Amino acid sequence: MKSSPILDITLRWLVVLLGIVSFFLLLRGHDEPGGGFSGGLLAASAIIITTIAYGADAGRKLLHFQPLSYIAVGLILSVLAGLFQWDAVFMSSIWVELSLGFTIIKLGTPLLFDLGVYIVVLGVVSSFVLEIESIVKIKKEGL
Amino acid sequence: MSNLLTLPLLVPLISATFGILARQHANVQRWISLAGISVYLAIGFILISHVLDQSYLTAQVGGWQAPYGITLVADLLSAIMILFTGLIVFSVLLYSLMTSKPCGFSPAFHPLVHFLLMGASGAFLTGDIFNLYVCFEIMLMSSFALMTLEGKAEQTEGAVKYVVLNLLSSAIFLAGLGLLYAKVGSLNMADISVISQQAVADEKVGPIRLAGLLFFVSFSVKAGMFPFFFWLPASYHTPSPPVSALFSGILTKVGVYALIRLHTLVMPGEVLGYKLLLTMGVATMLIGVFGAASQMHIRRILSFHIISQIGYIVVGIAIKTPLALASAIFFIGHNIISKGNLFLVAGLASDIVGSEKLHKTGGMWKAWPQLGIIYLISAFSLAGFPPLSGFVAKFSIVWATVESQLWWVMAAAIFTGLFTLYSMMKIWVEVFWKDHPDPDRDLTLGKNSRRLMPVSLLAGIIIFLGLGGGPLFDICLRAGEQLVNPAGYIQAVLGEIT
Repeated sequence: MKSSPILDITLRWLVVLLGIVSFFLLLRGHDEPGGGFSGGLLAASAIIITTIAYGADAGRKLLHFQPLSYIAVGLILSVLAGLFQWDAVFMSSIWVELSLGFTIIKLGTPLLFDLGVYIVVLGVVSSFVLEIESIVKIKKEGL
Repeated sequence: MSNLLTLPLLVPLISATFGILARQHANVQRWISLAGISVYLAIGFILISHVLDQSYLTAQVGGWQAPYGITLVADLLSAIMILFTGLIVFSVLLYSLMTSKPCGFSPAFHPLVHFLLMGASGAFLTGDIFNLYVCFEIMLMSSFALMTLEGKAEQTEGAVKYVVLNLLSSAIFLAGLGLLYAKVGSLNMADISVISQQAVADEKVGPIRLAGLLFFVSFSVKAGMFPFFFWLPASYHTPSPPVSALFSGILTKVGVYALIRLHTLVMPGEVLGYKLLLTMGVATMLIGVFGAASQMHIRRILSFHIISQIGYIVVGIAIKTPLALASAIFFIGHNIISKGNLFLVAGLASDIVGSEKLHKTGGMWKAWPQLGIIYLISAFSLAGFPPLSGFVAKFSIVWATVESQLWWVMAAAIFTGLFTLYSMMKIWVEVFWKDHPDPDRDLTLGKNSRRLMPVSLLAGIIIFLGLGGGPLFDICLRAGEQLVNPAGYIQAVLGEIT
C-alpha cells in the first residue's frame, strides 16, 4: 500500500496518544466514567487505525502477541483478581496503599480485574478487525 | 465453604482459558480439558453431598448482601443439574478425544465446550434473574460457535435458524426483565418471589403476570416447547455427533430448569396459568413423537424425541406437587444421560455404516453386537422399560397425573411412550438388524472401538439410575419439596430480613 507522509506522522502520534488515553481511562474508571471496557476499546482503536492504514500485518506487529493470547491472559488476570483472598467470598476486593513519598497510590483487586477486562477487550476487538482485514485482503488479491 | 459455589463457574472458565493458551498443542489442550471436567465432576459430587446435608448453600459474590449483590444459590435441584451436566460433558469429551473426526482436532472445540459448561453452571447456580439472562447469552454464543465448527453449509443453515430464534427469545426475556425491574425494583429471584406473592395477595398481579408471560415464552423457546420448537429439529442434526449430544444434554434442559424456577420461585401462586402449561406440555409430547415417526434420518428422529421428552417434564412442572416436580427432576437427569448416549451411539454407528439416512444403513448387529446392546439399553430407557432409568421417570410422571386425576394427560403420556418405542425400534431394525444395503461395506470398528468406553459408561449410569431408582427418587422428592415451599430458599438468600 502506498502511504502518505501526512498519514504517517499523524498515525505515529495518534497511536501513542490513544495508548496513553486508554490507560488513563482504565485508571480513572473506578469511580468516574471509564474503566477496563472503554479503555480496552480505545486501545483497540489504535490497532484498528494501524490496520486500516497499513494492512493487517502492521496491526499484528503492533499487537506483538496473537489476539487470542490477549483474551486468555486477560481472563486469567480477571479470575485471579477474584481469587486473591481465598478465604473470603469470590470477588471480595482488597486494597493496598503504596506511599511514594510525594503521593499515595491505591492499588486493589478491582484494578486488576479492570486490567483483565482491558486486555480481553483489546484482544477481542483486534481479533475481529485483523480477521476481517485478512479476508478482505484475500478477496482483493483474488479479484 | 462459600467458595464451593463459585467453583463450578471458575473451573470451566480456567480450563477454557488454559485451553486457549494451549491451542497449538492439541495433546496438552486435551489433557487440560479432561482434567478440567474431572475436577468439575468431583465438585458436582461434593456440592450435592453438602446440599443434602444443609439443604441450601448461598454465596454473596464480593460480599455485597442480597438483594443488592449477586447471589449464588444451590438447592438440591441446582446440585442435581450440575452433577448430570458434569456427567454428560465428561462422557462427551471422552468420546471426542477418541474420535478421529475433525471436531476432535479443532483447537476451538475444547475451550468452547468449557465456556458452554460455564454458562450452564451459572444458570443453575445464580439467584439473580439478570445473571440468568447473562448465562443464557454465554451458552448461546458458545453453542453457536460449536455448531458451525466444521463450517459446512448445512451447519451454517441450521445455526442461523438456531441463533435467530434464540436471540429473539433472549430479547423477549430482556423485555420481561426490564418490565419486572421497573415494577418491583429488584432482580434477585428470592426478593421477586416475596414481592410477587404479596402482589397475588393484594390482587395487583397484572404487570408481574405480563413479565411472567414474557419469561415463559422466552424459556419455552429455549426448552423447545410446542409452538416454539421448530428451531430444534432444524439444527440439532447438523453438527458433529458429540456436539449434538452435548446440546441435547445441556441447552434445552437449561430452558426447562429456568421454567421450573419461574413456576415455583419467581412467580409462585397462580401467576402463570396452570392449564396453559399443562396443555402445552401434552401438545409438545405428542407433536414431538409424531414428528419423530415421520423422519428417516437417525439424528432427526432423536431431535424430535428431545421435544417429546421435554413435554413430559413440562407436564411434571405444571402439576407442581412435590411428586410431580420430583419426577420432572428425575426425568431431566434420565433424559440428559439416555438422550446424550443415543446421540453418541448414533454418531458411532453412522461413522461405521457411512450414513445417517436409515435406508442406507444396516448390518450393525452382526458386526458389533456390543454397540447394539448399548443402543438397546438407551433406547428402551427412553421408551420407559423397567429396570432402566426411563421406567422410573415415566412411571413417576404417570403416577403424578393419576394422583391429580388428570386422566387425559395420563393417556397422552402412555400413548407417547408407545410411539417412542416405535421410533426406537425403527432405528433398531434399520441400523442394526437388517443387512447393510452394500454387501461389500467394511463394517469393522477399527480404532472406533475405543469409543465404546464412554457410551458403555453412560449405559452403566442408565442401569444404575434404574436399579437405584428408589433412593435416588427420594433425593428428587426432597428437591421437589424444596421447590414447592420456596420459603426455605428465600430465607437462605435474604436471611432473617423477611
